[in-house]
Amino acid sequence: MRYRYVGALISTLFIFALPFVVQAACSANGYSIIFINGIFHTEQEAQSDKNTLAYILPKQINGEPLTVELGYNATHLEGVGDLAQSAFQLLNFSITDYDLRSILRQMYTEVKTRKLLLVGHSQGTLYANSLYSYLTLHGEPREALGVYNVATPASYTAGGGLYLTSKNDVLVTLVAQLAQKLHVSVPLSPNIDIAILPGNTTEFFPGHSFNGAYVAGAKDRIIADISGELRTLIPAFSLDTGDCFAPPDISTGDKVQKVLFAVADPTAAVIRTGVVATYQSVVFVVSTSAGMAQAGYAAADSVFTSVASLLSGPAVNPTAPENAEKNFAVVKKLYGSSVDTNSYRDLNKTQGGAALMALEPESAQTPASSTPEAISSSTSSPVMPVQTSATTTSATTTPFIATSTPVFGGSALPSTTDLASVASSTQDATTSPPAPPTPPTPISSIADTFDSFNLLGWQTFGSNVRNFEFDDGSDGECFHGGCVVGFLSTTSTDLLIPRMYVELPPALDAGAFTVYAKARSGFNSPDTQISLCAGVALGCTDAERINFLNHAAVDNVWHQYYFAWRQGASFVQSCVLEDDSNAADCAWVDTGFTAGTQFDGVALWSTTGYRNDLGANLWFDELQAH
Amino acid sequence: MKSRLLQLWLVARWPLGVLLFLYVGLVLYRIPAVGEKQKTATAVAYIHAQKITLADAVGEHLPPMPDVEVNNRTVAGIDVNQNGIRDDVEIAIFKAYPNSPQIRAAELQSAMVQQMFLTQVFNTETWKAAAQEDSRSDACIGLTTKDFKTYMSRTNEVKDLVFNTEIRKKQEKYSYSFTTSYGSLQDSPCDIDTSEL
Repeated sequence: MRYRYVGALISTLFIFALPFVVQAACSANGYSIIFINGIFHTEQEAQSDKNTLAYILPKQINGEPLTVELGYNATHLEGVGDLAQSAFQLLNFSITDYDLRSILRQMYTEVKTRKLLLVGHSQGTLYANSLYSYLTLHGEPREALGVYNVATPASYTAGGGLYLTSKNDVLVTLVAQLAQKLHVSVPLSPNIDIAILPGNTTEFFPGHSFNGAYVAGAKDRIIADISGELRTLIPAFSLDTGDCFAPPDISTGDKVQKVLFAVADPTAAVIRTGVVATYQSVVFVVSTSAGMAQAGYAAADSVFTSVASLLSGPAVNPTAPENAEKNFAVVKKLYGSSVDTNSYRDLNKTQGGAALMALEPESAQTPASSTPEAISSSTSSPVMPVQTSATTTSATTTPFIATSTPVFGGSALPSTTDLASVASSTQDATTSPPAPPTPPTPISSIADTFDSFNLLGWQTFGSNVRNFEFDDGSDGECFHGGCVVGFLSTTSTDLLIPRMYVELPPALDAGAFTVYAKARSGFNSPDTQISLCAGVALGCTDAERINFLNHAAVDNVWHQYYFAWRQGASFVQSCVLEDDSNAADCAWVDTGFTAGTQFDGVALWSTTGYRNDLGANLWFDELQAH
Repeated sequence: MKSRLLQLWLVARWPLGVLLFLYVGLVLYRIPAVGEKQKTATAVAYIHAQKITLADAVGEHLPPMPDVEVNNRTVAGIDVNQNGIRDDVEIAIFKAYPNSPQIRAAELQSAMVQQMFLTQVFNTETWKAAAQEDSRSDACIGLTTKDFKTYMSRTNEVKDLVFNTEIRKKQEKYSYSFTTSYGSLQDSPCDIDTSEL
């Protein structure tokens, strides 16, 4: 029994000691391209160049699939190692074959086809030539192999392959001049004239980059050359077995170099960063030391002036005329935009700064007469007196205060606490207790230019909704003056539906209105709707509405809508016109409401939510009774 | 016979014991490496398994714009709807192409891949997996246009959106420090059939 265990142990040890061998099947069907990048390329550029090559080339050649792979030519010692290697490669020597062998070993498991084209760029062309030599020397048939070189500093293309070098390639031109002086093999002559494109002029070597110069300027030539070369490749073996090529063994030299580069490459990066930083510091110090003296005098002067005014001058007076503009901005922000500069100036003159700061929200106090563009065209609307801090509106007694729903002014109404705290923050208002509010006065007409905030639009209906906001027109979006907009800020991302309705007391049997609407599409679109409400007090529900628009235009253009209703024989009848306000054009249709139903509100809304932050929005303007 | 086997065992047990000891020692020594290998295999499988869905492309679960400061505080950023695409990038793509679900789908796929360069790459194998997916997503973007400049602009657009802060650029650089040679996948370039959109 004991021996059985020993045997099992030995068997286990033996099995685990066996290497796992992966056999790469090489297919006669299909084509592979290995793209080999040049030096001074970031890794991202190498990847991008390879992807670009795959993008421009056909996906099939002779009905067989084409794949593009990356033979990554790593940068060593921050490019210095590659420069030295390139110099030796141009002389047909090599300092080290480490990169070449690495590419071969890495590609061994990746290449799956017998037909293989090596595409090099810049220093990668030297590797492409070397890879071709290695592969042919290790038994790969020349008929199945090809090389195509772009921006090549080499004096030949292995296997008699094609190449592409631009007359305007600054790097290859430099290499050619240098080679001539040193009497060594000069690069292949330029065979295309690619203009240096605007985006390529700022590069270190203009006219040399694969994407920015060659593909951008000679895409069709590259496609034709590569496709032509691929078509000439013939697989020597028709069986889909065996490896595509024999990889080099990992020598001790490779292991040593791997360790060396693993240490030296990051070290070189640190050294380069240090050198660059030192250089930049020196340049900075030299270039700024002269200017610093001047700046120092100016700064000192500024500090002295500030300190002197602080010590000798009075404290900043918020009601001082020179601060009027600043105060107005604060008041406007707090109370909405119907507080215009004229009314502000009047208030400031008569009430003083404290009274201004203790103002209740403009909705309940700004007299229509002081803001002629403000609300109704009706002359019978009683106006609210301007209230001082002694009559500050309570937050609990009227719906529009109780909710903090944003109103036309664009900001949430401050609560009593907020108002009190604002008031107490000013010198004159600290003793003024909040007073009970005056309820909003019913409005007998709903006509509204929406040029300023007023009471008309505070109400919403339905769920998941928000009120429209006031747009003062400064953004150029309104039809005339101010208007209402679903979302004033483009950062709004909630999917609440902008809805508002305006009351029409008393309820009417018949009437007609016009309103302008503009809807803009973005990721999605608002669904513009204009409705008449048969019961605003009940929430203007689906059963209590005439919806006039089914598919309003979403074209970012203002359209005028005429909508009307009247009592028919059995049912209420409705009419809607677009960009036409002539009642004579109406085609009256029966609604579902029985004759005698009265309507007491107009709803302006979107039936669906939309993404304002992705461009969609909805505006209404100039609601007028007819 | 039995006694000869016993004698053989008495002789061989010490060398075998030593071998066993060495083997156990090697196993213990290799545990971290094996753990790393498993971690790598899991990450590679994860990278290849990440695909955008039709719901992503049509914006079914489009997230709200995240707070810029909070979003940029970390390399990964905010991904409220957990679809692998950072929310600010997702929103920006929808904003740029509100009316083209094909371009959106391709760029969202690319955005997901770029995000994986930030969050999933920690060695050569994981970089290779991400690079293969990057090649697919670039090819998918390529299907949206035949114009080279537009192709470049769209591929760069996504990368600019994803690698938009210093810490992300550093992480991208770190991730690309594992660059190696690799072969492309034979899969279809796009995660979803854009003709459905």
